[in-house]
Amino acid sequence: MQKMNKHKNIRQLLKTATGCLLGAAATVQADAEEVFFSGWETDIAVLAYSESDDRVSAYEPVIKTQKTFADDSVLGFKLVLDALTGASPNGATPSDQVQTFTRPSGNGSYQTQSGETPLDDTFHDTRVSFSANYQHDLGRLDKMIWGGNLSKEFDFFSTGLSATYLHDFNNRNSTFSFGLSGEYDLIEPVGGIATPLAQMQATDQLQPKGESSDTRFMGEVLTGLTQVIDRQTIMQLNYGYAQSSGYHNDPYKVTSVVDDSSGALVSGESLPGTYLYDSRPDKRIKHSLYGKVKHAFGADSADFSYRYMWDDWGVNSHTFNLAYRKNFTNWYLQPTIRYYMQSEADFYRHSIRESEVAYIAPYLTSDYRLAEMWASTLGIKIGFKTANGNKNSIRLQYYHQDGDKNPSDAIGIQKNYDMYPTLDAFVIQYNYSF
Amino acid sequence: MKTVYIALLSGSLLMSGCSSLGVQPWERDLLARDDMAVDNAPLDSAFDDHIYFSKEASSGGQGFSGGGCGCN
Amino acid sequence: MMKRTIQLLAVIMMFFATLQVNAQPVPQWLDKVDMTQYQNKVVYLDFWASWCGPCRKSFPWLNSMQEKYADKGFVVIGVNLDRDINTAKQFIKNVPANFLLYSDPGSELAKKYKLVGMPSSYIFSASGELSERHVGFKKSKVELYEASIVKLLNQLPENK
Repeated sequence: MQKMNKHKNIRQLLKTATGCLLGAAATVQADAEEVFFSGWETDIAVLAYSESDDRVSAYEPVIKTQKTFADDSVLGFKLVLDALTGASPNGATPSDQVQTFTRPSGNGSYQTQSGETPLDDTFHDTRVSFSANYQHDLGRLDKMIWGGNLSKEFDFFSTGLSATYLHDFNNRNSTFSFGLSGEYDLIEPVGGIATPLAQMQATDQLQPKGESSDTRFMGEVLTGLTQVIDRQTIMQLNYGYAQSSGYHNDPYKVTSVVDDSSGALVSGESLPGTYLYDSRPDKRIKHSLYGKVKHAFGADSADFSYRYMWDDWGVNSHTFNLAYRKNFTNWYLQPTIRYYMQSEADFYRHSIRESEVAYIAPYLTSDYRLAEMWASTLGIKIGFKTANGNKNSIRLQYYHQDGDKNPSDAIGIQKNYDMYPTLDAFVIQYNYSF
Repeated sequence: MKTVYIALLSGSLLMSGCSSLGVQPWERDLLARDDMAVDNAPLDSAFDDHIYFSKEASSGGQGFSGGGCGCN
Repeated sequence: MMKRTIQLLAVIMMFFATLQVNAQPVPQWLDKVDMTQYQNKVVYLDFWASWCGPCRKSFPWLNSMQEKYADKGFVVIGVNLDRDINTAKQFIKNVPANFLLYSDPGSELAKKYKLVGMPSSYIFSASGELSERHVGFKKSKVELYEASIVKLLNQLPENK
């Protein structure tokens, strides 16, 4: 050993000597680079999402990596790819006739059979999203987390920045957090921006479209307190405020206009039916109150959270989430259940009557996502370590969403059909960490 | 605006009342466990948030850390 | 005669060489922490637990400090605060320690020294006085920690 040490010392001396001749910086640089590229903790994950009835399917591979440095600062990166296919409800309601709709590009049309929920299958889109975050200490009890993100898909571009401040007190039993974020969105719909409340026209007609793109900006504040209650229990309470201004319409969605007494299609200007393009306010303010409790039951734990959201569009929602973690020596099982319910937006209608067209302005939407709706998710996650000590997990979820299928204001033939596009989706996800 | 005032007031009351709650630094063994981290599976949360944002009218709410080992 | 002596020396050197290459530090668990035993030594009392991430990071550095300054009168005592000593022993199997260890499952010493964070280190000068206290362990601060050890070691009569 002594002999080996002696040789090591000579090698060190030579290295320093060479360093002095060539410029010590070169050697230091090489060492520093080697050090920077080692010690990254990486996660790769894949999610497969599939809705029933030929609706949306998505495949989402993700790679995420982060490194903790000598001063406890953390640098992280994440890349998400999202490939979507399948059809989405376009907002129109089922009728007793075949319905014809024009594709967003204005070139081409698609049809819906009688009694079916109209679905637009135009889109096969791919989204790429990249985000980076950096966390560092300001003092022993204070930290900052900085974040940036970029996202691009065919008709949408988004970029954002965020900064969060965290402060520990009460012997680290309490953590106060205050975060600010801003997001800029550029919406470039296929076929251009549809004129709100204008009628959908047949393919051979002049399309009621305006500019090729529009923008939206959102600012958000998220503040909260995390509190250790006792050795087994921790709680978190957050308040969030978000304000967005700019383009909020869904340029691909329409509202059906039906006959006042029969509920049947009303002849349009160039189509067999009358459909009005989506129109929403150019401003939205959202508030959220979120609470979570985690409690350890021996080697197991339970996680319960509740969120109440309300906005100035008339929507308010409740979200309940419960997860139970059963830890075994080398693996774990985690069943979860989620229940969600929301009220409808002030300007949501499943369809409107012909006599209302004249005074329906300024806002109108039939987007099911702004309807009165409830959803439940059942999930199970299994985690285990492979032979080399790396973590794996598989997650399965079933999501069911429903709304008022038989609204009290359904007219005539509408009473025969489901006025809400019920959704069933399966999700499978696999994670690997190394 | 009134709701904001109520929220801020309850927030400050919470923070002052919380000084009596908690544990000693050496009693954080259970809290330091992976599954007891406030957001112990950020990839899962991100996937879920994205799905729910696409299908529902609400988004976000969940905040940042605290808890855990309480070390350093 | 010369040849035999050299051969013998070679064998002895190789024996010690193999000892050093193969030897794992043997964990020594003390029955009690009696500061009077360490007069004229600089004692580094380090409070750790198996669930504490930064503690795990500090062990290689503590090992190197103990080895480097042992013959200058430096003694590291790792006070473990796990409720169950077996959890700590399992940790030591994976993250070896070449310094003295003491099990304090009831956190008596932690309470005595009014611990505010994990890990915490208390450095006692030769006269047994508490000289310095560090809360937390950061790899970027090791030079600072080492400087405070050296400062106290230099006060020992044999190091002057």
